[in-house]
Amino acid sequence: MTPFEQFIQNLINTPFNFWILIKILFVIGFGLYLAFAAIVIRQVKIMSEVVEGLSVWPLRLFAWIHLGVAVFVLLLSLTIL
Amino acid sequence: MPDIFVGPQKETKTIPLKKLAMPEKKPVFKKPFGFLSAFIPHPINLRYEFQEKDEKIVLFLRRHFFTNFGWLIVTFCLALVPIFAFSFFPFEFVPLSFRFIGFIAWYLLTFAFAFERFLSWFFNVNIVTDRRIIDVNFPSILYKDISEAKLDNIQDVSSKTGGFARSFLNYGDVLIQTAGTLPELSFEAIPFPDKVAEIINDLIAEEEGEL
Repeated sequence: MTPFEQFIQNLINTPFNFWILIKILFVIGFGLYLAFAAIVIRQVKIMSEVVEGLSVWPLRLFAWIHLGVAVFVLLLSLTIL
Repeated sequence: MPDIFVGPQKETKTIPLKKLAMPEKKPVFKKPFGFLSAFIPHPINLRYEFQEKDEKIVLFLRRHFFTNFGWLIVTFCLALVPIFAFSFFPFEFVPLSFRFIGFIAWYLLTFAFAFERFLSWFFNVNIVTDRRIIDVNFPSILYKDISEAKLDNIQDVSSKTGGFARSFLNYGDVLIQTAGTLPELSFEAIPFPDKVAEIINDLIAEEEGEL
């Protein structure tokens, strides 16, 4: 049996763990969410450049907190799931 | 022949032609310029990205705050979903850690929805300057769409109000037809649409008077 065949055989014989699959989906989802949170920061910056003088600091603060929470949740999902 | 009676002469002021054509109006709106204001006449500290040095912003508008009511209700309902879901279905077959992360994920998505809708309302603005009209749109997270029309290219300005909420809260649409490449600009759901149309018409008249 070649190493490749052995690898496939191992994959087939490994019992399927449903929760591992869910964990992977959660991690991928939170990864995408992290990218979204980063885009939101950029978006707030671009939007606030169009009209200067608006009080946008609360929005920037929210956007940064949002990014921080997204990072935290991704790390949390990697550790506790 | 000598005059028998000479009345006191009144001082006559010469009024410039421009003022005769455009009599000064009392300021119609005296509203404080707040963080969530949807109608800001003559904003002092605001500046548009491509504003010229001697150009002045006459009106700064965004959709009436009441237009946010729909998504605020949706957000409120979404926030209640996990509470009801966990009280009706305990989800005991799901491991606790997954339940916890799922709970957080739900509220993150709810927050993202509400924040995006708020940003969309906050930054989709309409600006009227003494030279042009600008419509700033952010149709989605990655797109920016800015349309503008010079006052001398505007052919017709009309306002439209209809429906219970719009009539009661006095907000509606202003449609601006132009002779430029962009056939029509619309200011949607802005407060005092009739006054805005009137102000734009006055500015056009003033602009035509200068030419």
